[in-house]
Order: sequence, then C-alpha cells, then structure tokens
Amino acid sequence: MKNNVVFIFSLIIVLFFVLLGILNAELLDNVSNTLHASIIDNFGWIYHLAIFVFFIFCIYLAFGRYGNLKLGEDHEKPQYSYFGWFSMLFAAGMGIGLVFWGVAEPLSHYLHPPAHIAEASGDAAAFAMRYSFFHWGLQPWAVYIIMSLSLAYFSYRRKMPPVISSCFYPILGKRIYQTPGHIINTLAVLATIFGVATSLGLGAMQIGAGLNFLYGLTNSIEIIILIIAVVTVFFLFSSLIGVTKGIQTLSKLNMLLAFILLLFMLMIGPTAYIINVFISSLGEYVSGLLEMGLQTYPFQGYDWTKSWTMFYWAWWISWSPFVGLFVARISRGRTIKEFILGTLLVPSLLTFFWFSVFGGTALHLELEQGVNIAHIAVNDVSTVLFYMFASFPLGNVLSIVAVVLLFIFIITSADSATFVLGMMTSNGNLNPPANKKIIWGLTQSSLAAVLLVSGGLVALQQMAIAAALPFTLIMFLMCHTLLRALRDEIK
Amino acid sequence: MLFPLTLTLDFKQIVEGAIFLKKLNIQKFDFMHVVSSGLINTDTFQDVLQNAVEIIKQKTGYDASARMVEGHAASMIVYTAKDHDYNLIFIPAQNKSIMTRTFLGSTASDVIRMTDTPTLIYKNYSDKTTYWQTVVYATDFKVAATRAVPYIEFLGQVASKLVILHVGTRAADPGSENKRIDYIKEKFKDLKRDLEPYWREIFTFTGLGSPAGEIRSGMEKFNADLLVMGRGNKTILKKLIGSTAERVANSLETSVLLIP
Repeated sequence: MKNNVVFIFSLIIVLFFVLLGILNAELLDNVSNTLHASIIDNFGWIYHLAIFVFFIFCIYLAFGRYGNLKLGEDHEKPQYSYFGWFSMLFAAGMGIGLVFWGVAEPLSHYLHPPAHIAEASGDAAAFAMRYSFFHWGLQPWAVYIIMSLSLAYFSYRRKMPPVISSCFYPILGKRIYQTPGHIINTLAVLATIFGVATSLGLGAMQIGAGLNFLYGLTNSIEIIILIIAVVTVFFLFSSLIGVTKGIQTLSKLNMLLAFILLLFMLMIGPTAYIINVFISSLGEYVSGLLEMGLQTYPFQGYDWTKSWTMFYWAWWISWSPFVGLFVARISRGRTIKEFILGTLLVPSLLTFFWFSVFGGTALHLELEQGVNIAHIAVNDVSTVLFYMFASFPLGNVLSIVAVVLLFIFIITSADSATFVLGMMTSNGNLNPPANKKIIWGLTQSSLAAVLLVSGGLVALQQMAIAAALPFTLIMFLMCHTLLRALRDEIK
Repeated sequence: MLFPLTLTLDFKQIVEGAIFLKKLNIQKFDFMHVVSSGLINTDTFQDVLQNAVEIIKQKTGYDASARMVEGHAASMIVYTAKDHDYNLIFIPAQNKSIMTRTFLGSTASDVIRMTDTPTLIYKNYSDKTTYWQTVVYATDFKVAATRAVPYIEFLGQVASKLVILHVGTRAADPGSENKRIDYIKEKFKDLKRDLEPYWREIFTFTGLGSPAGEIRSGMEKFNADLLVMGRGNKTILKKLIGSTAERVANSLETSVLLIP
C-alpha cells in the first residue's frame, strides 16, 4: 500500500470522475464550466505572466553559467540520436494538436480576431499567423522545459526518483516521500490522465470525421469508440515493448509521414506564398515576442485572449507533467544548454513551418482563390483539414495520410502517457511494471470513451485546465528549487 | 567608540547605556549629534550636547567628548566612524512602529547597511543594564562570520552562555544533505573547541530556511540577550531587499552586534 499510495488514490479519483460522467454528466459539466470560467477570469493573467517568466528563465539557464552541466553524469552520452530525440519531442509535445489545429486555428483567428482588428482582412490574416506561432511556439516549450529540465536534473544528476515530487527536496526534504509529495504526484497523474483522455477522445473524433469525409462512414459514437479501441490495442502493445522499440519507432515513422505530408503540401500548394507567410510571420513573431508575451488586450478584446491565449497557456501547463516527464526520460546525457536550445528551437521552428504550410495554404484559398474555408473551420474544426485537401490534386491521398498520421500521433501520445503514468505511480521506476501500464492504458481509453458517450469530454478538458492553476505555483517553485540546486553545485 | 545620540533620547537611558559600556572595557567614547544641514540655531544644540556630555562624564568617569555635525544622520555617523577609526559604533535603538520602519527606515538600519565599522545596536537597555547572560553567535562558517570570532572570545568575559547558531539551506538531494549535515557537525566541533577556553557553557543550534526567521526563533529559544553576527559583501539582491543583518537588527528585541 505504502508504495502504491499515488497509484491507488489517483485511480480512485479518476474512477470518481468516470462515475460522475456516467451518472450525472450535467453536474460534471456545470462544475467544470464554473471552475474553468472563474479560473480564467480571475487568474488568467497569472498564466500569461508565468509563461513569460518561464521563457525568460529558460533563456537565462541556457546562456548562463549552468549551461554546460550535463543532465546525467559528466561522462554520459545522450541515449538517442538527434533525429530520434527531436521526433519524440515533437510527437509527445505537439503532434496531434498540430494536425487538429494546423489549419483551423489560423482560419479561426482570421475570421474572429480581437475587436480592434477588422475581421477577414489582411491584418487579421497576419495576426492569425503570428498568434498561431505564439500559441504553439517558444512559450509552450518553455513550460515543458521547466518541468522536464527539473525532473531530468534531479533524477539523473542528483540520483533521485524521476517523479515530480523529487524536484522539491530542497524545500520539503524527506516530506517528498510523505503526504506533500504524494499530493504533488497525484495532481500530476490527474492532469496527465485528464489531458490525455481528452486528446484521445478529440483525436478519435477527428479520425472519425476524416473517415466520414473520405468514405462516407457514419461519424457515430460507435465508430469513434471503435477507433479508440483500436488505438488502445496499438498503444498498449507499443507501450509494453518499451520506449526504444515502441515509442521511438512510432515517433520516427510519424515524423517521416509528417515530413512527407508537409513537403508534398509545400510543393502542390502555393509554395512562394507559403514561404512568404513563413518568413514574414516569423519576423513578426520574433519582433513581437516581448509585446505578445505581456499583451492581454484588456482594452481591445480581452474575451479573445481568455478564450484562446489563456486557454492554451493553461492547457500547456496541465500537459506539462506528462510531456515533462517523458521529455526528461529521453533527454539523459544532454547538457542544459543543448537540452534547452534543442527543445526550444527545433520543435518550435518545425511547428512554425507546419502552420505556414497548412495555415498559409488555407489562407491562400480563402484570400486569393475565394474558397470559403474559414467558415468551415469555425463551424467544424475537425473536418477543415480534409476540406482543404479536397481543393488540391490527390486530395484523397493526402486525407488518408492525414488520418494515418492522426492515428499514429494518438498512439504515440497515449503510449507516452501510459508509460509516464506507470512511472509516476511506481515511485519513478524508469521501467514501470506492465500491469500498471495496462491499467492506466485501459483507464484513459475507457475514460475517453465513457465521457464521449455521456458528453462529458469537454468537461474533463476543463478539469485538466483547472489543474493548471496549482501547477503554475508548483512550476514557479520548481524554478526556485532548480536554481538553488544548480547554485549549490557550482559552489 | 562612537555614540551617536539624539537629543530626544531619554537622558537617563543614555547614562545607563554609557554605564553598561564600561563592562565592555570601552576606554573612551565620543558622543555625536547630527543636525540637518542649514539649521540656523546650531549653537543651542551644541550647548545642550556639551552639558549632557559633562553630566555623563561626572556620572560615569568616562573620557568622553562631544561633536556636532551637519548632514544626513546615518551617512555622517558612518563617515565619522571611518575617518576617525572608531572601533565600535554604539546605537541605542529607539522603538519605532513597524510602519515607520518599513516606509521610512531607521538611522540604525541605514548605518548597518553602509558602515564598515563594528556596530552594536543596543536594545532594552533600561531593563538589562546589569548583565548579558546568553550570547548567540550566528555563523555560516564563511569569512565574514569568522571575523566575529575575536569579539565572541572577548564577550566570554561579560556573559556565561554561548549559543553557536547556524542557519543553512537544505541540499538538493539526500546524499548531499547528509554531507552538509556532517560538515556542519564538524564545523561546530572545531568552533566549540576554539571557544571553550573563553566560555563557561557552549551550545549549538541549527536551523533550515530563512536566516532571519531562524535566528529569531533561536534567540527566543535560548532567551538570548545579544546576537553577534558577521556581515558579508552585499549582492545586488541584498542591496534591494536588505541583508539578513538589517532584517534581524530591525526585528529582534534584543541587542545585536554586527561585525562587517
């Protein structure tokens, strides 16, 4: 029992939410709506400021005097090649979301920007691209870096168990093995399982929408549950065969497919236009980093900031225990500088290019060719990608590739999550027991399926976001403890 | 020794403070009063000060003198102490409300922040003029703290119980923490051995966390009369938020001897 406190308590709480979702989805919806709205209304600015501080902190660590310290023993070499490492980083951190939002987000901002920008205008398009970069770029990765760097440092350099509570030893001492530590770890498990179950459900819905678009297959609950079941079998299998064989292989395959899709779209799409979108948005993004980092539009359209920017910040923070642990797991042997710059720059640049290719192409269709695609993005986020492909030669092939990509992205996300949940609930065992991985895998899939049926999936997403508030505080403390430990070491 | 005073200070307290200083083998001290620049009627102040010094000399038998200078009080105290090579600045602390301390600061705080001369902030002297029983020596075992050791040795003549107090921060992992604890034990042992010839009783005390807070609780625990601590170089952060020495000197109700 003592070794399984986090496991048992997390499981009980998750089961409570499953039951609540089945028995009274409306209550779950009301509670989560109220909680989510009041947190974003009153504490949204904390997220905004926190993300900015985390970003600055990462820059300081990368270029400061701790940059050459290794996440591991001084003689250790990185476990994974750059390609393997970047592939896994990208797949775990952004993957599925990019397929989902790569087209939809720029189009949504273009059609509904904040009040001070004219809707559906050139300015709105430039704003849309800049803010899509902002929401998916350096700042989210800075959040992940805080979590993963702390975990990797305390685990590999300080030889502590790779669980989040270990990062608090400088403050809590031996209490990390008692109730305070258990609370932190349980919160991390809950944020992870709620977040991944939501993504699993939403991802399965998009695959369903794709299949419906391609083959006219009814986009019914039964089909989506079937998709979840198939995904579950795959990710459990991948999870059980380990990180190197399972997740790494799938991530590399994913990267390859994503790269092919990206390149193909770049070639058949408006290439020069896409490149122009990329460089001009990148320029605007870089020059506006400070302004966007602190701008919440209190006078011009705060509602827009709340529903987009602050939602994203909370979402990334709630995902950070999962992505952080996973990224820490795959980053052993890298120096702090290499880790921060690699994690910050490479996935961000890839993301920017992805948005430029897919979002830029969609904006080209809308602005230059008069295809009314933005309204589709606003009305049905999950199908807009397929509508866009339909405007190009071999559109069906592209859609099939996108569905496969989505399918593998879901598998890699769920696979990494199962692995991380297993680790978190077995006191940081780097090779968590198979039974725990199976239990968590089945739990997250059934949670997604049950809440999809009862209509509580969005409520669950909002609960995950609510967990971001305590996690923001936890992350600030992590910055403090990490800095303290690094200072101690240099001394 | 430099004894800055304000003419609003209770005269009885000044005399008691001066008598107390005899216990510390102070041979000579100079009273000093700082008036604001441009004050026209300085002669009156000079007369009042001179009379006070004469009375003190009669009552205590001290070799004392008085000087009056113009300018910012804390700066003038610091410059005078430095220019004339005083061994000690003796500041009888006045009780100020927390609001006054927070927003206006106090001359004592300003002197602590600026001076390079050992400074004794003397508190509660009306109650405890007769003796000091327990002295707490707060040390982080660094150079600044070591500079206080000769003073600690000397204080063994006027007090009986010494508490060596160390406040540290927990190391980043259990292995390093154990090493840190062993290091502290070793340092305590060495320090105790060095100071044993001067003191009747020596105790040790360790704390974790905020140095100011832990020093306060250590002082309360041992019902100490005096805190002695070294003051190291100031980082930019400490210049902004104030050093531990300043915070402790402001918040403790007992006397504090700071060795820069």
